[in-house]
Amino acid sequence: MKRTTIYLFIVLVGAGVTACSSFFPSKWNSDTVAVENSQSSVSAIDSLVFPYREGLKDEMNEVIGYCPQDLEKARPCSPLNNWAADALYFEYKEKLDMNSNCLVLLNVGGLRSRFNKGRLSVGDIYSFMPFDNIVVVVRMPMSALPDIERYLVASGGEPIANARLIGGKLIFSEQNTDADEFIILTSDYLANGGDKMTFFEKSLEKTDLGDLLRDVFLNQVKAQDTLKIDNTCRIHVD
Amino acid sequence: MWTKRKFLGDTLYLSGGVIVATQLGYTTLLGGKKERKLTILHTNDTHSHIDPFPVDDSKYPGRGGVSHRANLINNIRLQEENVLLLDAGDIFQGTPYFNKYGGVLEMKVMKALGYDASTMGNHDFDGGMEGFKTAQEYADFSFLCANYDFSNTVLTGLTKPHHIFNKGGIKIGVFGVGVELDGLVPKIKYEDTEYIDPIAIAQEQVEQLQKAKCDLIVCLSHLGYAYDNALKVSDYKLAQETKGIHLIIGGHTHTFLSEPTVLKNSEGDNVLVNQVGWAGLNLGRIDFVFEKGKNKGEGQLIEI
Repeated sequence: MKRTTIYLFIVLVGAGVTACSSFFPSKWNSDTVAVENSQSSVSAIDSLVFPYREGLKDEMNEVIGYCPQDLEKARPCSPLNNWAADALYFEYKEKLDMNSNCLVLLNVGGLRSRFNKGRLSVGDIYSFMPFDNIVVVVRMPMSALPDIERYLVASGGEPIANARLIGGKLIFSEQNTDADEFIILTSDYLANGGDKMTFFEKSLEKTDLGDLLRDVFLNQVKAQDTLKIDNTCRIHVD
Repeated sequence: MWTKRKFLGDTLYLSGGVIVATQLGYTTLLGGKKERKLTILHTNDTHSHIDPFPVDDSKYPGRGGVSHRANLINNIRLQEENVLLLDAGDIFQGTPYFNKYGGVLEMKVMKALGYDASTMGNHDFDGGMEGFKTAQEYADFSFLCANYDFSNTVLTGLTKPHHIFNKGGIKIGVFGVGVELDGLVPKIKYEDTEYIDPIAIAQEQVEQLQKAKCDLIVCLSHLGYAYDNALKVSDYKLAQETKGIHLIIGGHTHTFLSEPTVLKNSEGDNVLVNQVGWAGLNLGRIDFVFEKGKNKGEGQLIEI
């Protein structure tokens, strides 16, 4: 019995000393676990979220239109890219008298979700355009056009309307070759050089239209009812 | 070493020996190995996705959602003793929850899920500096940002470069690095936040954590996985151009990796780089086995 006590004492002291020394990672193993609705939920989390979800429900669940096909953003082009850029064009073509040498330019990175075929709710548009970006109209010198063409080629394509990129050259739907400037309708984020659109530094004038880009999308879904889809590709980099 | 192991083995036959061993937290003492285990769970770019995707979603039907994530985490915590739960930034922006509540719910949820630390992503600036400050008051975990200098902003003192965790005798040093904000976030949002080159800062952080005798060094990064432009700083570059980091948990590029990428650091040692997509679709899990003593260089960190 005495021997046991001594052994135990030595074990404890030995373990105590080694517990102070450091460890090093020798092996690893990994697992990427899919989070799925087949798993149980946790009631404490559900009750935490509940009042917030209820607060959003009525406004976000309102159905405002119909999407005739699954739509996804893509490079160089996609029907969803076209729809987003067209929404700005349709909203402002008369208000701004957008005729020759005008284009709409957005960025793929700014479109934040897809549209599923079926009913579109206010919440879907919030997911698509969560940012509080404001619509801006920018007057640009014609000398900046090659910068934009190079940008579109390098990025691999962005949503545009009322123009096409063919062989790396921008062609306006209505071209005025005599003019020495052109107009871009875009967001304040991009007009201020977001997504490295540094060519906007060459702008002659920027006018904040005061409308949220998201509100333009909401208006257009309501106005179109069934979304107007253009399946053509507007971006041809080579 | 052999004598001690043999000795321990003998002792286990004696009454009380097993209890002593268990109390000391050895996982595989009977095998003669003094190993310990740590489980790191991680997310990135959850983007305010509180609810699962709708069941009729064309791409991710029924996937994600914080309640189901909580369930997975709770189950792992029941099985594993030493768990660290981390996030690599872009907690905000992506659903009306952020537009309407400014990120408060995201913080409350992360607190309830038991997050240990996070770094800041570019979208975490979307509510402005005041917006982040207000939301962050609901979090009880640290925001780790080593390469943003917030001295001239309202966030000064509210984040820190690194934090050292102690889990079952293992010291884990975690530091955070973020992406360049210029051109990505409007200046009006990040105000006078100063961005500092992450690679030099990362090496400094590693040295501080090594001095503090950390057994594992983890970097929470919102730099992005890799870029075509080889000059642009990324997790790839960070892994290859530094030494001492064991694991980089990344974000920003929404990259889906089914398992960590193993890269060689500037000294030829293995570095793990992981990222699990976005929107809380996945929970990343990496288990580490630790051995006692110092790594004398003969053993690389290897996959089991």
